[in-house]
Amino acid sequence: MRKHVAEWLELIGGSRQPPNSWNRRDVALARAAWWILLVLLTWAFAGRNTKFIYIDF
Amino acid sequence: MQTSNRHLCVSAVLAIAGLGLINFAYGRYAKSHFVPNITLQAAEAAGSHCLVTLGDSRMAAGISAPALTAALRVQGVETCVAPLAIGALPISGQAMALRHLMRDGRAPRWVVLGASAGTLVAQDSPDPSALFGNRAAELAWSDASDISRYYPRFPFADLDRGVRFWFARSNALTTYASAMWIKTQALQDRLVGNRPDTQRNRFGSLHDMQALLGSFREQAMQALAVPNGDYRLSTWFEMVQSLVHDSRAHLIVVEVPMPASYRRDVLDSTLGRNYRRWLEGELARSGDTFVDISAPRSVEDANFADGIHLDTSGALAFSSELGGKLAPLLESAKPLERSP
Repeated sequence: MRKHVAEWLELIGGSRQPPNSWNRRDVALARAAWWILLVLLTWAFAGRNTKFIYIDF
Repeated sequence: MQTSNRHLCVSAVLAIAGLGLINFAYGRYAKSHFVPNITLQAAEAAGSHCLVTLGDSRMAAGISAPALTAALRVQGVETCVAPLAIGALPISGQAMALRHLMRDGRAPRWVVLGASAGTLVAQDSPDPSALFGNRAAELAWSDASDISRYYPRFPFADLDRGVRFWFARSNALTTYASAMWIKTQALQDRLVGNRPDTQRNRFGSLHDMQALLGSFREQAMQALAVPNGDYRLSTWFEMVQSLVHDSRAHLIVVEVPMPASYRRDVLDSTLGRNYRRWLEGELARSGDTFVDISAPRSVEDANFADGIHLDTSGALAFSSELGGKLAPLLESAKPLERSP
């Protein structure tokens, strides 16, 4: 199971070649979406609970 | 280029384009939901030639525009009031708010700036990481040239802070990041079962506010402890003065109401009295006015419900008394003639 997940993460992250049968455009899109997700998660959680935040939002 | 590399490049370009799109969409959302922006828009909508009130959360809590308008009217001064005090904004943010308000040719007749001990003197430049929460308004409203106001020695010194400031103000995802933090914090609290603090008012938890009184006292005494009382006005306050004077308006600095313990420890201390004397002299020299209303007649310590902010009845009492004190000043105010 862990090996499987690791392979998927390598594949989606770009360090492993996808199988030849896969549509390369779809893989490129999926990787872009994955990287965006990672950036957004980092952005959204990076500063939480580190400071007293006074914001009217 | 190999096919696999080309696909990775395509992924990277798509990811950057996607982030750009998200930045654009989040920027639009954040701008319309960020209360400092909404306060600014409301002040702009009040029209030109109004009495504009500036300050931090103490002024935001203390000013009741209808009560102030009514108190001025009773004394024969008819004017619109544009409240522009915003919580957590120091003089730098307040100066930017006024500058923003005065764009498009809008000019106030009077600017009433709520201040407290030490808030108008020059202080150390903030790290860009401090511009979060409501202080994100300083990123949103800053001009490119403000980098030299924050970091006068940039780029030869302060390169790191200057570049981070420049980057933080360049896009919505960094400018309004803390607006998302506050939401993810609530999500995390729900996930891990943290009970939200129910004892809170519009400024935050009462516990934090009560702790803030101690911080205010400490910061004020630190700001006032200048060797030989050699105070210098903040360049941001000088910007407020320039904006007001250039538009031929009048600037009135008001010492905001604070609880008795703060007045005793800070305002009535030797440092506090020396600072006040110095500030009054500086303001008189530039044709501005100082009004001390730190202890309004009808306001008691019980009106500072969270320790530092006036409650509704305290705000009504303060605004009415402020109107009574301002009216003679406003009536006698004539268009200013200042030498350039």
